[in-house]
Amino acid sequence: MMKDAVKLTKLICDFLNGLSEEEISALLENEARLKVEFSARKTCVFCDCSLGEVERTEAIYETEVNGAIHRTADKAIKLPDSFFQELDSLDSREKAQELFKQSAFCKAQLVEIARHYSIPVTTKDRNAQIVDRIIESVVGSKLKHETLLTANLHRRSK
Amino acid sequence: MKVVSVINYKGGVGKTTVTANLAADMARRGKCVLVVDLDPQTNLTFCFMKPDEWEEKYADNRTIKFWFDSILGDSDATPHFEDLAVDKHGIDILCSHLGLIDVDLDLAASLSGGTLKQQKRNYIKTYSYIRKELVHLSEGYDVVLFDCPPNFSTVTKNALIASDYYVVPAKMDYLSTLGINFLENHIRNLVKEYNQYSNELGYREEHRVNPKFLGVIATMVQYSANGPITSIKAQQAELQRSGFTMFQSMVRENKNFYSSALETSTPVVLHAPSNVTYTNIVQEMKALTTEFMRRVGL
Repeated sequence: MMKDAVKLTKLICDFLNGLSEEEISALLENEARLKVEFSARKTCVFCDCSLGEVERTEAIYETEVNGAIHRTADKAIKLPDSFFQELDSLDSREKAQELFKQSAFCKAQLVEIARHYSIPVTTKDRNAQIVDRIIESVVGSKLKHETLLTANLHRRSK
Repeated sequence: MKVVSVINYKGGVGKTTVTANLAADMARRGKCVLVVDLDPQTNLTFCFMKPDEWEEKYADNRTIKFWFDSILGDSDATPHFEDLAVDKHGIDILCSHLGLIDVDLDLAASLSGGTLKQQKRNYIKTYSYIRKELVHLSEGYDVVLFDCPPNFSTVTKNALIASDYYVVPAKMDYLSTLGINFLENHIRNLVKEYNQYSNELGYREEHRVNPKFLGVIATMVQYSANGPITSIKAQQAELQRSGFTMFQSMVRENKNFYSSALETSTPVVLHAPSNVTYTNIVQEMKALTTEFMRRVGL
């Protein structure tokens, strides 16, 4: 939260730093008005894929300062509940891999899925790594749990 | 009276710290508390007294080992828990003893029998010693806590059979959380076997046992500025997805504070620290007690 607040403050400061002396003077003397405006990207910041089919709850946006693109903290991307229900119901890692393959999520969506399950991932992780981590944490842990919970305690060694 | 076993196969995860602090805080809140140290390492005992005091005053005849020896020796004058317990900070503590390891061997030997029926009788008898003792105690205490050793010994099974609930303090790392599954498997099998034999021997319904899983308490939790570190949250989420109840309260990692508490034989929850970090730890421990009491219905 602190990091986001600092980043947002920096956005505003960067904008103000870009103003000329006359413009700053006009603002301070109430002869000009500061208006903040943003426009939402309609594509994913990581891979430029279309997010048209995904319901966007908030915008992912960026600012351009001195020619460099600065991204703000990524906002939440809503994913269909049916995906989570299906993933939760799977009983094999292979089926989960197939589900992800068919869904063809971009990184932003994978990061959001990981966030939903409280799985730590970073944007530096490759898509395949994120998928593996999600599958192991959701499906793999279920399989481990079943195995250990139902292990035959009285099995004799051969 | 609520009877709770504090258990985990893994050693060094905070079982004794949780038991000692829960007991101390509940006593501070006016509850009548008995803690039984079932671990031969005597860690819980030494949370409340110095080893030399234990050796001088209690080791010979005021320990759980002494009680088991009396039971197994078929003595007519078997003492009760309340006769052997020692008062420290308003808590009755039944001390442990390194010789408890031998008690396990003696108890295990008593499981055998000539016929299958005799074996089942011995099974029920061997695992019911503590349960029978607690019937005598039911009017005296609000809560009994068992600090169990990090194994599934005969003594541990005695505690579980006698318990209404069991709680599992655990470090939130991969291997520790796997162990919780094993533990759950063992407990389910123990309860199933005990009740099955009890039924086959024609014992009454009140002989059946059903210790309920109260929850996992995350211990040794590392914090960042934003709360528990992400790997902790990830393990908790995974445990919850596997069907385990998690306590909302957690026990924070702080070797210094817990170490100094041991040196003064006073659980951290009874301290009134002056710095913010330690104050937070005390508050979190108190929150854990509140949640524990709510869950067991105290």
